[in-house]
Amino acid sequence: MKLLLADPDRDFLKAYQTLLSLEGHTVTVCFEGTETVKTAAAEAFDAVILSAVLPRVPCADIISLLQEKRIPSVVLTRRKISAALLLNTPLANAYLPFPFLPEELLSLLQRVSDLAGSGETFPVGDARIDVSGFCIAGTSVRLTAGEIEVLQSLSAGSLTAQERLSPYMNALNQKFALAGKSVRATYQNREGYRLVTSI
Amino acid sequence: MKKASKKFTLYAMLSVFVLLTLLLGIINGVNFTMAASDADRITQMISEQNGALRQGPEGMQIPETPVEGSAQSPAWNAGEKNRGRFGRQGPDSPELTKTVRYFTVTFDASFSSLTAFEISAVDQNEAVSWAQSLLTQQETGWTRSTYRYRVYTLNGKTAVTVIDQGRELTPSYRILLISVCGELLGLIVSFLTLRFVAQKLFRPLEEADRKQKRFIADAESAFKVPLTVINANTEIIERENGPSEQTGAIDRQVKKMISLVKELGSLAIYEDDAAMHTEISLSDLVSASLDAAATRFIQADITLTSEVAPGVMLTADDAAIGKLIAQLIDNAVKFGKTQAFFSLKQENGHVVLTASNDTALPDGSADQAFDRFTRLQNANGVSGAGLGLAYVKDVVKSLNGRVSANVSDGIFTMCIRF
Repeated sequence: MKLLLADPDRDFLKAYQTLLSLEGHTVTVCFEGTETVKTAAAEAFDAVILSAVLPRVPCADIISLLQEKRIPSVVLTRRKISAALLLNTPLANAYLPFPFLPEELLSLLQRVSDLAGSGETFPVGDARIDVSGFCIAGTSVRLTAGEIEVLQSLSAGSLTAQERLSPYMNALNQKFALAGKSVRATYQNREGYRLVTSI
Repeated sequence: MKKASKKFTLYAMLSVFVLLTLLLGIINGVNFTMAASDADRITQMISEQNGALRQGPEGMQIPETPVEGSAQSPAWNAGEKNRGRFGRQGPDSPELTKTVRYFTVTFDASFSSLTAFEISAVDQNEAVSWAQSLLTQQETGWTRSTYRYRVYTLNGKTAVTVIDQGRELTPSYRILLISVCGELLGLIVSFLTLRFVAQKLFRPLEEADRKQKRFIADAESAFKVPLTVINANTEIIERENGPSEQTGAIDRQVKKMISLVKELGSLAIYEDDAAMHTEISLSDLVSASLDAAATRFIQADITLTSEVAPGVMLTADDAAIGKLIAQLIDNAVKFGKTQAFFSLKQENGHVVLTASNDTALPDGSADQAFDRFTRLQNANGVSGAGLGLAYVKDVVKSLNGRVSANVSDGIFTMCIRF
């Protein structure tokens, strides 16, 4: 993959440029926002990995630009994954909180890339999920890779009890409501999360 | 720190209250005791004069029987040089016979008679029945607030003398009123002064506490990227040169540090961010968390029971609430003996989350459960840093909720109300 890696920490840039290159990716690095915007606008990348805080340009502006160009983005953040983060606008395709292990970034990058290239859609109650578009089909409500994966598991059956899923479920329910859909993810005691359609 | 400041103000206020009450109580107590003593001297004088104060040649009382060792009674022997402790108002005043308002009633087996009646506030019939009601009382005392009475024997009959001390007691009541007002004023001034002093006194400590929290938060944030970088570089070295003992050690230590930093960041400090608030299904979260922890309870030989009402919603930072519930569960698993109980319900418009477990802690020993870096008596040999419940308190407080913990009859109960 041709990747753009943007982070203000040069040591981080160097380490992950090397690591991603060892994985066979072509990596361009930027350490501040203006340069990132220029590079992303000028070249075609398969994905962009960027820090949530870059000098000079807000992260949201860069994500908007990447969405326009339909380039998947992975945002590296110091914040924890929460419903509020997943309800951000504009929304990146994935968020990865610091500190993380190399395999976590590599795995996430691969999953985002796979979803972006899948071209598939699948139904969830009265909604349809546009996987490669990272959104609820027919609406402007965007989803992250994590949310899509949760929905894929839910539509295949129920999800076991995992409290870490709570931010995703809360965010998804609000997004379904925003999209005017009646499907909701709820927890059934001792059965796990399930999709239900409210009347 | 605010708690310490409030405690300081409360205890200081209590001290001021006790001191002022004691001081003013003694002053007023002595004052009223002296008033009672003066009144008793007058009733004694009347009793010694057969139930009636007699008019003397100079307008002073002349007792029928002079006081032993003196040619005259104390009431008249002093003239100008003896006006009593309070001048003309006291029982030693030469004006006593003109100012005292009283009546005396004598009783024998079937007959009662009004021996003296020098009062306008009551009529004679009322005086007799009033005196009769006092026959069963103590020898002397107060009646109808401002009247002093004496029950005594007069010529073989029972006599009751009642004197009106209303006018004489007025200054005492004024002093009492002034004392109460003074105490209230004193308490208000003390409260304002103490609050000011507490603010001055505790501000540096609050600032230090705030800086400590900020430092922990900054440290947690600052460690995140370096740890990620160290780990990435270790991975690069291993890929280029193959794994070694050294890179393995770095890798293990970095993973340990990542875990520590995550714990430090999540538990040592909680700073509420309204932007992170969203509506969450607390029922789902509690149920999911309890189900996920079922195996831990089984491994710990603890029977878990729960009552989770459906549809309980809360607007909060869901990640923080998730950690809060995880802490409650962790606490029950670590410190429960055989039983743990969780409940979630909506009560009078409030969300009430309760977690309880049987415990070896003695009753009333949970006061410090929420203090940072504090571990209770039963934490010996159990892993942890004493941050979990402090985190719970921080989260609950940030949502204007209330949290309490107590140990009663061997059950540790924590109740959270949002």
